[in-house]
Amino acid sequence: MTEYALEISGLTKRHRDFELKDVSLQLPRGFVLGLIGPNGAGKTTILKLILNLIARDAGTVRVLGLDNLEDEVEMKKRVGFVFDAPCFFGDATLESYRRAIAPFYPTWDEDRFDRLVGEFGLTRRKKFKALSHGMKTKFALALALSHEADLLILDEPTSGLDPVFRRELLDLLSGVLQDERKSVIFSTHIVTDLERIADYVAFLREGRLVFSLPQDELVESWGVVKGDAAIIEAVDRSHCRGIRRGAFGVELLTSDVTAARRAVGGDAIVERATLEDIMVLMAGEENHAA
Amino acid sequence: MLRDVLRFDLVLNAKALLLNGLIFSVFLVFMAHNGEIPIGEYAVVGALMFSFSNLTVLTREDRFKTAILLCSLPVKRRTIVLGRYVLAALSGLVGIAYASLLTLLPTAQVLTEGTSVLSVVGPATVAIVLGNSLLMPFTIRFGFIGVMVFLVAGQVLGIAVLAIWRRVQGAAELKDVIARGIGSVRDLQQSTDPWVFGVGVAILLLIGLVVSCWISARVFERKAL
Repeated sequence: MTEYALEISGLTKRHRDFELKDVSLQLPRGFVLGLIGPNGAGKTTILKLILNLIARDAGTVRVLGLDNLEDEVEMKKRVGFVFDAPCFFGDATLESYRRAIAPFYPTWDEDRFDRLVGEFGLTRRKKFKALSHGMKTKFALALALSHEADLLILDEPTSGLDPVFRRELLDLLSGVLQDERKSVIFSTHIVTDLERIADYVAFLREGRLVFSLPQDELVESWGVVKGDAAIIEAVDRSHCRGIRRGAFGVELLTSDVTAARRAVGGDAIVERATLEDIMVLMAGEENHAA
Repeated sequence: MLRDVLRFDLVLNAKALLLNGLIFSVFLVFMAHNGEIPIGEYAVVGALMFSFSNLTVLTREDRFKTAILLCSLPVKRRTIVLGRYVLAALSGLVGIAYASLLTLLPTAQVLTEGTSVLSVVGPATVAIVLGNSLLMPFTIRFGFIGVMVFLVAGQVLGIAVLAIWRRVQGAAELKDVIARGIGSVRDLQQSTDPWVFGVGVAILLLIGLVVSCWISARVFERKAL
């Protein structure tokens, strides 16, 4: 039987100007789920709902087999988190954070924290506000990784980081994932990051989950057809997931690249879709996604 | 868990709390040398000032948005709320102790003759419980703005009651009613065994505290972070 790190069912949250509607997705243990979507799609809302930072209107969330409301404390002991928005006192030192946070986790590993602080080039006596954006993210990650969390929730951890830092962070995460029991949920705009580490990709748009699929399947089956409007008409529309019309022709996103190749022959360019293609074409105005 | 919440608040707000303590200390020293004042009243001021230190914690939490961090840790929100009440109580007790110590200064003009420990600790404890029971739900829901809302709303409400009373009954009668109310409490105190009266007041305060704690917990549990 598959063990799930995360099982979300019918998750709904209504805000005054936004609604996250009926989101259901699953993440098997030991895998990385990338949450992508345009701004305001509901990525952060889902992560906050998982951690009970906002109250849901409907649905259920199970983390590592635990209900996130009934077993909240047990669940949070096994979850590590890194938020995009700052939520630390600027005037407190990193050492005070360790002293304040470590006692909440029975599994806190002081040696591991020490090692991570060293590896990340952090200084315990430094104040949080004195850290650069990248170092702040690294510190939050050090805290998240020092209590043997089985699930890491990362909200836009690479946003605002330069490419060197981003690569470093992703390498770190890859290291964490050497332990096959650990799982990660990673929301980001920078889809190239996900291509490096995500096993599953969930795409959100306007509070709806458009798809949640293994990245392998997306890479294997999805493609972009580029050509004249007339040629694009030949492609089977039942697999069409999005269209973008530009000055130089039309781009069509299909979930069956083999069928698209057969349909257009050599009259159009058919390429494998990158996550960026998928995000851009599905977020466009003319999309045909289910 | 409660201990962890207290530790979290104390460690990460240590400097701000110490700075508050220093300012309050200077004020209390000044007060002790600024004319004669009964120790009971002096202790009430000390207790209230120190017990409102938790407002520092809550307003800093608002400013730095650290509630997200605390609420993501393995702890129930109601435990976090309880932690803030306990912090208020503990700092209030520190305030009473500190104010009492200051009366030992040879130059202090605090009147201590003929007072018992109970007559010092009792009113100060009542002030801590009453003040925090009223203020905490507002502060927990609205942060520092909540304190302002509470104070302004209290004043507006008072003015409204006065205006309505004047229109309906006349100003003098309101004073009479208040005086009669205070008089009735005094009569009750004098005609009742002191222990029975004390226990009665304690029960009432405890009920108020529990209700306040419950409202704060409910409000904080519903707060979107």
